[in-house]
Amino acid sequence: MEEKMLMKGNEAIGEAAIRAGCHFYFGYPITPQSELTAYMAKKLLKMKDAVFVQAESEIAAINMVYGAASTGVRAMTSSSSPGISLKQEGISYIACAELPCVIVNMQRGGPGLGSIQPGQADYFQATKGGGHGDYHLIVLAPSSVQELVDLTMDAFDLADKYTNPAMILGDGLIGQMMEAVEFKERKKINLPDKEGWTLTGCKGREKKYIVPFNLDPYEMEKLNLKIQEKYNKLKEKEVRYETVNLDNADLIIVAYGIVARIAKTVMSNAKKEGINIGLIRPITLFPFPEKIIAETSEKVNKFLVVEMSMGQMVEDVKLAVNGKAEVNFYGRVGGVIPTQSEILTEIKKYLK
Amino acid sequence: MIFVGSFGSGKTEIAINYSIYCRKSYAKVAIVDLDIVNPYFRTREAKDTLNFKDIKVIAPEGEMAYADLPLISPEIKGLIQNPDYCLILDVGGDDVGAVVLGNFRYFIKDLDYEMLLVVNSYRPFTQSAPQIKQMAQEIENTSRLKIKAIVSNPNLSSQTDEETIKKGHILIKQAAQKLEVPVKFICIDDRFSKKIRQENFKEPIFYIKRFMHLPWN
Repeated sequence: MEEKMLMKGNEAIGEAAIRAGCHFYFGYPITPQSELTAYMAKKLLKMKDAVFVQAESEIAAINMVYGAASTGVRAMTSSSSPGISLKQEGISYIACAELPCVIVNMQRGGPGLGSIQPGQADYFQATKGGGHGDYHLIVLAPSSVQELVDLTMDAFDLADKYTNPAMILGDGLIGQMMEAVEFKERKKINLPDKEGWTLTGCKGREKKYIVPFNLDPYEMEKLNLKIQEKYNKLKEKEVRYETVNLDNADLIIVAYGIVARIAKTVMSNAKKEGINIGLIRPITLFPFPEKIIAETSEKVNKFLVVEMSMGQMVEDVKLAVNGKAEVNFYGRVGGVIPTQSEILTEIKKYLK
Repeated sequence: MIFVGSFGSGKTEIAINYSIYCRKSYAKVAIVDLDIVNPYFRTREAKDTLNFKDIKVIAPEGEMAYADLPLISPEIKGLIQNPDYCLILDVGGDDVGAVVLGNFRYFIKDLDYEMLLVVNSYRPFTQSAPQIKQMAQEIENTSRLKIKAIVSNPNLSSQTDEETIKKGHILIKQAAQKLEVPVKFICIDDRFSKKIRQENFKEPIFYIKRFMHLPWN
């Protein structure tokens, strides 16, 4: 076993990506994500056959990922909210061309240039497509630095398995905070062979194309249906979540990322006051864990969704609950983190 | 007193603790947040606590306190030259963070300054004696000031145990030997203050209280 290290979230993603075989990184610095780009520069520039480019813009970086991914290598880019907005056209192209890659978004307060403090207001953008057209990313939401490591590695596997871009949706705090991590030996998994579609020079073989279009609308519709099929499979097979104390709970908190960690402290504080709280923490935001939420709404009739947004994931929770329970919302925005006491006060409001 | 070191080595927490320690023997203590690298977890976040303890904090104010801009107060130059003050500089990480120090070199170099390199051997890029030596040289080259001693800060944050500290400290001592500088003190989280006593170490122990908190603690 390797020794534990004390890492910032952003550095941990970089190390995890490199260990997952990602030797192609294209980035553009932005607070609070820049340490990842800096880490990749420090590491990849010293490695043989690795490529690090600080691109001239976020748009350039995502298109470099598009190019690199076309050759079958594991490629990554990262940014924070405003920079991710700039990448959307490229992400839509990559999804249409059915290429695997990993995109990291360490969200900050928005909208606009917003603030450099943490946020979660890019949930819609991340889970509902973000760019134009009907597509989804595989969206993973870690809540500790160790989970950042594990999910970054998983993101590359999932992207390869479904030939679809995957996103790590974190926030500034998880990117900046330091926790001990270890890089465990991972089980080998079987992934589909890339040979059939990769562009590696066509000497002595038929031409291959990777394009993000089809001018024949009927063929383009077929492509859409094929891509949708992957999303159905993802919903069926790849949903991940954590649940705590669902039995006999008076109220269920639904929260992801660092907010779920605050919620856990709130739960133990509430317990001391005789209030029994349960937690559902979505780990995959797409595919969304709607089944467990629906099942729980049959048993517990009060939900509180807590987000660092004005209410985005709450819409998916309401869809899953489908009117069977009361769904309430509490959010702080602009870079403000909800406090333990605020959340507990909110809970008490609904348990009166 | 100048705290330098690699990014994330623990400079800020140590500088804050050290300023409180200095206030016991000096009437006038000031701490300067010279961090132009980190966007979060900076000295300025402990400003109210430090002001309450009668320690002056120099850091960007108002909405600029939340910015990631290289803001340097004009007050710093005056404080460096003011012999009445015991001044503590909390410098940003790596050689990049030390650039700002080079800017003040002209005013610092002839004073009786002490530049301390904070090392946590569990951080990336300072995990071996040669890596630590390289970090020290890069910081000295950029700041054009000399490192006088090492501050040993071996820890894995909340996952630290006695073994972590012992093992890390041995490595850091080897690095200090290589750099031909002493270890000024070893930092240990004050939650170990009953368990880990001075007799276990040759170097003085400096117990650290944490000031930067996560929202779930």
